[in-house]
Amino acid sequence: MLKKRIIPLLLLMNDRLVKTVNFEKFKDVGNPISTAKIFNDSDADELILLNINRDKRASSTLIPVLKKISEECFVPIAAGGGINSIENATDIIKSGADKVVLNSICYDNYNFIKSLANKFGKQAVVASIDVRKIDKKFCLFSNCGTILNKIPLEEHIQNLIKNDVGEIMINSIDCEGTMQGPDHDLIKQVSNSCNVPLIYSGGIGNYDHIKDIFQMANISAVACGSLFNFTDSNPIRIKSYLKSYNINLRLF
Amino acid sequence: MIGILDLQVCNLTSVSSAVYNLGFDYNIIKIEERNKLDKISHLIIPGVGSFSNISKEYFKKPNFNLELVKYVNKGKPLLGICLGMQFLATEGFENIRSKGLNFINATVDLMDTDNSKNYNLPHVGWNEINILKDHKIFEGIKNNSNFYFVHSYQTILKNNDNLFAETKYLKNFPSIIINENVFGFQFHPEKSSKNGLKILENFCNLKV
Repeated sequence: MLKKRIIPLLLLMNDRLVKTVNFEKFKDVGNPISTAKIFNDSDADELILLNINRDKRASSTLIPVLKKISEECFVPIAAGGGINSIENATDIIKSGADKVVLNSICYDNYNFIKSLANKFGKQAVVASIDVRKIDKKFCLFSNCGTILNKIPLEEHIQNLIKNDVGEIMINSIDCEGTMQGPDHDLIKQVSNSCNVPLIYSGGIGNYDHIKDIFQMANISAVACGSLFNFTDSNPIRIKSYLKSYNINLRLF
Repeated sequence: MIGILDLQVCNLTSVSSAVYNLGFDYNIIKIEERNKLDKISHLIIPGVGSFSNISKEYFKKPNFNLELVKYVNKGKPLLGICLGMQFLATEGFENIRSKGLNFINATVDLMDTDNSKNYNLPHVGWNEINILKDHKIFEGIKNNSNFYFVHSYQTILKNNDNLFAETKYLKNFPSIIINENVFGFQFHPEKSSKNGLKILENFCNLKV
């Protein structure tokens, strides 16, 4: 049986890591390469590196950082942020990423996912969905949370799966950076409609939040930012805490 | 000197960085450069993609295969990673029936799956290896250690003497196969954190 994963989420702004709250209020949290190395050494199961610069959406800032990280980190790496062409995605994979993370382009062109899956295998394609709750409904946003898309969540997920996405990452914009806990309704709804591995991120502030997610739904991985940036936490500590709850994690 | 065979089917950076980080020098060998094999003490064949594709790339230059057979007959260690391990087999059935290296008596075919969420293909992620027989390659590796897997096809061994570790997904499949000086890892040691680096180091330290 595959292990559940704990994934540090690294948000890249130019050549620095930042942490946001509700996709706003950028706070510098360090050097991406040394941070990635620390996570690599503290038993992270994977790393996700996203370029969140709204002006420079292209991967030009991401690639040099990714290259350095992949020379020193020996766990799987997923990377993305502004990927809009096959060439772009190919560059990212060539620079050491095992998976590319797509978001905005999925809304315009589901076929793009299929082309990438054909070229690199579907395990290399992760679709990321940013969600805000408006009037008790989950609304999907693209371009770093700035553009509302009309398609309903369920339909978007089914389209992604139909087009051979390997994995789906779901982010709650409302919870992001608050450390006040994840959106349980969102998790339940998505996990029921999704038969590919799911990564949840947004709002994780303590180890019980992670435990709750793994216990309530069939979620493959939890990605955390603030928990690592602003508390004395690392994947080793999270895993030793979760061990006593019989959650199937990679302990050694 | 560790050799890494470049069959133009995957990114070699992770494997070469891992070898380099462990303190070994490496040399990337292209299929046109069979003379370079003389200077290599341990050869690694990484691989991502399809069996038919790697077979086509490799057998483009039949002379390289003659050199590789000589290399293996000298008793020098050879390691296939992921698709590279599958390529050690006699033949594979991904897309079309294609010839393998035939260093291990085996075939390669699709894994068992029930298409459910928990046992979907590809088999991607961290999974345990169950060590079945003792070998120097396992030095410092605990039984049921985790490694990172990405594959849909598996090796089907004709001879269970070659089976050294297996992993359970829907069913058990070989995750480490060994035939004397020929080694195959179904997982990616270069992506398997400390355990991966350790087992790769053990390979690079094997005495010729």
